[in-house]
Amino acid sequence: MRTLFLVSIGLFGGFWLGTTTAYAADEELVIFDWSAYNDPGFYQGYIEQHGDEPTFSFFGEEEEAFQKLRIGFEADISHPCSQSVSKWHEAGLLDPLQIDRIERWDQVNETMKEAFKIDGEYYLLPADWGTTALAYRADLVPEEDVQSLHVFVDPKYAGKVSIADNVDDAYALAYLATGVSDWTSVTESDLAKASAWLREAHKNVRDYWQDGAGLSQLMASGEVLIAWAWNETPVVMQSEGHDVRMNRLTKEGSSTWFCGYVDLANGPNDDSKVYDFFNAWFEPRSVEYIVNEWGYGHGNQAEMDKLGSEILVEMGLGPINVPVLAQKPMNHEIREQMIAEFELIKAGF
Amino acid sequence: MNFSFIQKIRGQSGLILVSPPFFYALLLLAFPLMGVFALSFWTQDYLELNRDFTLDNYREAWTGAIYQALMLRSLKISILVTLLTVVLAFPVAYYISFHVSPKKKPLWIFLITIPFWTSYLIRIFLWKVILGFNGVINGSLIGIGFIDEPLKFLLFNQGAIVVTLSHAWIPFAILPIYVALEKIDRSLLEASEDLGDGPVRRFMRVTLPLAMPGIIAATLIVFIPTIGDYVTPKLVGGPNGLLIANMIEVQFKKANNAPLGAALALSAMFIVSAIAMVFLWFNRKYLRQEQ
Amino acid sequence: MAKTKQSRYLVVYIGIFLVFLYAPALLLPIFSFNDSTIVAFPLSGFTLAWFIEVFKTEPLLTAALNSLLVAVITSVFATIFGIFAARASTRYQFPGKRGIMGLIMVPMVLPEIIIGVSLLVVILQLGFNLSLTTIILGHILLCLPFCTAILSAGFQGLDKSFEEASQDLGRSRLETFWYITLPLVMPAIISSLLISFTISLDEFIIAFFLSGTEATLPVYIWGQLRFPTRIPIILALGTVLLLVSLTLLIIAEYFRRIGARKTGTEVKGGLF
Repeated sequence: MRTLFLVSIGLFGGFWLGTTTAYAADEELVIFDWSAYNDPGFYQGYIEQHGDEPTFSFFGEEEEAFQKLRIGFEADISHPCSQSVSKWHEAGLLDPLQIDRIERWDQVNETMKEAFKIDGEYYLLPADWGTTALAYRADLVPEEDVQSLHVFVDPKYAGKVSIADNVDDAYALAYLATGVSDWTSVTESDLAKASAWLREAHKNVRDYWQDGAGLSQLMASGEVLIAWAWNETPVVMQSEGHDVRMNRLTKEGSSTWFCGYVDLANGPNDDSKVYDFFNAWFEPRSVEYIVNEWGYGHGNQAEMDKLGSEILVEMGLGPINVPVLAQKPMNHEIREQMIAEFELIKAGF
Repeated sequence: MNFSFIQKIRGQSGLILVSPPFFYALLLLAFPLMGVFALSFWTQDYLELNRDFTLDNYREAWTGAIYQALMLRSLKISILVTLLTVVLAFPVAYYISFHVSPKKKPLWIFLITIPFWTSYLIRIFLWKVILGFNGVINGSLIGIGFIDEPLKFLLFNQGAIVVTLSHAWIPFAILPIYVALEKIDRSLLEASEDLGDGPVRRFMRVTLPLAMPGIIAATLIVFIPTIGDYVTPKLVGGPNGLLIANMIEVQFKKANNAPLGAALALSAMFIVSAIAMVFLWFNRKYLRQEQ
Repeated sequence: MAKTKQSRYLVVYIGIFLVFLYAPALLLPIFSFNDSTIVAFPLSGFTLAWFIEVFKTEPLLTAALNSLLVAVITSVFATIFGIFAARASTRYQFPGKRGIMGLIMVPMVLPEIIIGVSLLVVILQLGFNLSLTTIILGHILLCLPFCTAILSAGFQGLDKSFEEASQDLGRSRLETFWYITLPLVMPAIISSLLISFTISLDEFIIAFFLSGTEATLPVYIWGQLRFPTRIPIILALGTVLLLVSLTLLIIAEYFRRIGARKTGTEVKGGLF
């Protein structure tokens, strides 16, 4: 036992010293981010400018991140998605963006940046976005079956369907299926119709997918043939040789989500490096990197246009001419009802 | 000899002994507990807390059909998991304690815990590969021609939650039982044999009662925390596998209703403690009878 | 006769049990050598790429080592506290015993999100900066009930006559505890260390709330799941950790045998 102890302490101590000394990041910029976004491809310009990477602290879920910030965790920048930004703003967590310090502000996607213009100030720098649409196993599902979102309630696919375990994506689907493509103006009766539709779909659901990794697993094994999925899933699966395709052109349409960077109000450092980081993110090479390597869209619309429609269509990010439900901020009372309903539906009520 | 004096000394040494862990827990937990308790009598509107006293949260927690159903489902699953885990664990603990040579025991204990040094999330992923559509089990059964179509009842239901959780908690059940078995004085067993007891009778009269502290510890260690687990049901429970812990989580996060979450959590805590008490009481009775 | 038959059943059961126990762990290496980012059959090809990625992904390695550090320190402290609590509750009667033991057991019942959120409030109030130390503080609290439960099983029904004999022989109470009691409860102590190590290594809610800029492995992994392409790297890391643990175990066993042969003594009873 003593030997075991000594061997492990030795090994482990050595490792630890080795890595901690090698990994000393710039502590003048603390970024509270999703745990895979510390990818230098996104902010190469920042590294060149300052000779070092910023410091990252990771979260895996926005609500947990929100709670942590609200209690008093300090970071300079964070990365919420569109549905959370209003809540973060109302809780006083955000500083308005100083848009004159963002070099490529005029290139930023209009709709996305305007969505968070509150009292004349902008709060979100839309960085990454993607589409949510119908994905299917093309080798096992005939194409005529996936022309409508109705397939999610078709008894033929009972037990072969997966929907995101995420209230926004799930209701985006339900609203589209019931004929609503702008949820900023939904009424109680729209909500009731959408909920009723989700209850129908619930009967077909094999599993509510939690994450991209889990969904790929389900579709690769054939457990699930039809899913309401993010565009990255088919892209990744095709590159692995699975015939999984995405149809964003169902007659009811599909949805888009977006996330972005915010300047946190209680940041421990002054803002100079915050904007260096933002500017690095919006360089053309970062845009190219996120599209090619990650399969996401970038908030820099001008650079996205330059990439050409071929690559965008291949990644499932091209423009389409069916209804698109953009997951813009919505009335929070309706949203709270959606959240409560969704839990009931998932629990079988 | 002043009896109460001795008792006092005893009482003091007990208090002194328990004070480090007690004060540690008090420092870190007193505020949270009071906070959660107070919270459960308040209400929340979006981001604003309303501090007027109300029992509404408890009313909702105890009468809402969904909360009742989820609570019962959680209890059912936790009890099943506990039973399965303890029953599966006992023979293993017994084997290590009685059949493995003393020199090899540490090796075995490590063997039993090492698979759990990989991330739980990763293990769940691999469980899905085992139980899934063309997973290990279905693949093998189809391979030997036992079935033609993959079995779908293996995954995404409450059974899958029970299997995954039992697996996750089994080392936590083996260890306490093993600890208790190790303490059994082997001469007692010989004495029982000398008295003409058969193996079954010996087991019931000597081994089991003496192993009881370990079995109790194992039961509590498995039963209590499984009520609070919300990751497993999310990942392998499928459409009908949500449990009360998921509901509590949602209230604290997305639903912006921490007070209801607190009331649900405290209610669950109360029910679990009550069941644990009843269990301990039955055990004490049983042990007394055996003596 | 009956005895051998029974033990044969037992051995068969143990065999089946070990398969069940190791089932997920056995798949781990298979998928970490698989040339696909999707964890599902059929396998698509052999690759070492994921292992190379592991050693190139610095934050992942750092997170893994942070986790080990946190788990080792947590297990030691939680076990020491657990010994105090278990000893007190099995040996002595004292006022407020139920309440005190109840409080110590509370973290086992409360959902982790509640513990995480409220511990963060307390720790910031106390003026700590978030770091690995604060994670350790939280994990000790979480592991304490498990350690206490298992150590209580060890201390319960301990034959007092041993201790009394030792004290009669002129040893102080502390000496008696050290030389007599501790060896007797060694299995419980080892078990308690292992349990708290395992819990801490895998815990991510409390760790998330109490971590600063240094992540532990589960916190890191939880976020990575969103991105399927990163999964095999995590599987490869899991394989490495598993192999290292098993190798250390074999090395330790080897040295123990050599040691035993040198001294020419048979190590009897007790653990380690």
